[in-house]
Amino acid sequence: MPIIDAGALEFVADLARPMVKQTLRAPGQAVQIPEQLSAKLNELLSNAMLDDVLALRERERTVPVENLRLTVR
Amino acid sequence: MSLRYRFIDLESIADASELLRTIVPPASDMQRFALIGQPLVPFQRVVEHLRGIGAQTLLLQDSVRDPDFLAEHEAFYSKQHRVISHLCSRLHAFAAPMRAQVEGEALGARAVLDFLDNLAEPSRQYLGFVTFRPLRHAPVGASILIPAHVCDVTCHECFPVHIAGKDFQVCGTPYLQQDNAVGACAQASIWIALRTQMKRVGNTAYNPADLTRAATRYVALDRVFPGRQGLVIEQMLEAVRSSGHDPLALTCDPTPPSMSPTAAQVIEQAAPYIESGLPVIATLFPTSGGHAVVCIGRQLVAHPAVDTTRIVTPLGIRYRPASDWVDALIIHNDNTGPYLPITSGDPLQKDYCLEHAKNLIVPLPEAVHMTAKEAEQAALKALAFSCVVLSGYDTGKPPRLTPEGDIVLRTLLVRRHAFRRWALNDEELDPALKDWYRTIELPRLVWLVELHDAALFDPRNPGNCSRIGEVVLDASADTLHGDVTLAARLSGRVLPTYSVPQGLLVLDYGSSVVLLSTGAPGKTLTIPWE
Repeated sequence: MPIIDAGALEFVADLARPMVKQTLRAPGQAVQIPEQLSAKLNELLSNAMLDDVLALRERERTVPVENLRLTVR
Repeated sequence: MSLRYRFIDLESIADASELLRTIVPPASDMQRFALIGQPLVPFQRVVEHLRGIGAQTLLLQDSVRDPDFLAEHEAFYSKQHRVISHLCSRLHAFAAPMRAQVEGEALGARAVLDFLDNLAEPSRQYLGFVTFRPLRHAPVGASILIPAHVCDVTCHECFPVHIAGKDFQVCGTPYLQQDNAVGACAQASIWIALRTQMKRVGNTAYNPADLTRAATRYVALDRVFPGRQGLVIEQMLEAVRSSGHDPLALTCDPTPPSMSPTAAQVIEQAAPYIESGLPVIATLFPTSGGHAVVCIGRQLVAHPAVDTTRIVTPLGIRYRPASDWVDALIIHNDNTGPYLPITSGDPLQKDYCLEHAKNLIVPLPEAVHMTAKEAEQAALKALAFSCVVLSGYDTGKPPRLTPEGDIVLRTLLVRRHAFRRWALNDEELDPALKDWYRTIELPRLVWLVELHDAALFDPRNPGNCSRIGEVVLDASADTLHGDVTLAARLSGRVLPTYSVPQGLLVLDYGSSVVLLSTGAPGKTLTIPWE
């Protein structure tokens, strides 16, 4: 899968602007991330990583049944 | 009543055979067994270890009713026609030199009590104990000795020891030689792993006989006792499960399948759990047959032992795991001895090596639904999310998904209280961040994925400041169907060519953000359990 390019993140600048201003005015305080920004970014990253997530499960957690019957002594 | 205590000057003992002759009665079965040259490898290794940790004086305590051996005795030896004693001996090791031997029982007792009562700094002088079963084929019973290199061993616990009314403490990893009549290496390994965690998790002290019964409750492939035929992995998982732990079974088989995994792959899989203080049972399959050992520590090196740098393709993040700085694991091997290194080797040879690993079994505490690798993957996603938000502060440049330099991920399972205590005591943390970490709602256990600047990372030095962020994940979450990121913090140093704040904290599954006023590199969290 190709690396996500900067073009896919163009929506960030506009959506982040009010949040950036607000946090600069109130350092140390929690400021809401615009829901649309958070949702779109999460969706983009989750979709991009889904294959990796599934592949990891398959690779790491699939203990072959024949392995379970191996004897240690 | 005869005196139960006797001094042995380890300095004057030439070798393991001489020590054995000193401990057990002349012409006993065990001694004959030793004298005809049968291998007593774990015992020999224990003696080497005693010398390695600076033991000078050994105090031999007779007629010990060791709970683990009593259970073994009840399960098997009490049913034999020939009488086998249920009493053990116990060797207590001290760093202090021995006083002159005193003849006569009353004087001898006084000398023992004087030695114990007048020990300067008893917590430093007491080095632990070794229990001797009255069994010629498996003399080393439940034992706890301090490790020779404390920094290498992460899976340990402090246990109280009481001798003649005096209280001592030994901080080490419990060890047991397999008594294959009652349990083979599988039970010994599970016993070691569970006993190490017993105090933290609040479990019952399961003994090898209990574990054998638990393992064979639903799948018995042969007689239960004597248990010389060993256990299959499925039975091991059942024994761990019945003890109240979640038996996480990981496969070491590489993809695509080949003859054996590399040492680096095995280390990488085991390292996060070992860093978390969780013992990892490794099943090894050399050509001579399957065997189980317990990984309880790791040997760190100043420069990476391997380079496993990788790029997460869809995100473009370049990173490597902290396990690149590990060149060996420390194991308790019930048939060769305690605190031994296991390294890369030739899988075709019979000497155990990491390439022999087939599976790793981690007895996890309850409600840890995410594996370390899943946590790492979730942390990479949170890192990308935070990078985009952080880069949004520099409107002159395009948003970035990735840090500009190489990142090292150090992953460990941390108890909530330990995390908060670390936040309280870490001098480099931003004051606002400290407050957030100390007060946000957290589950009992979190996966902490530390993000380190690869150029500054030196895991051998806990005072080294290389941490430029961390991701805190809900260990009870499901990575596939749930929000997992509780907090992600990035120092502005990850984007040196961007004009961004000193630091940024993303909270509540990516729903809010906090601007931080400092972003100085910090230290690692060293105590994941309280």
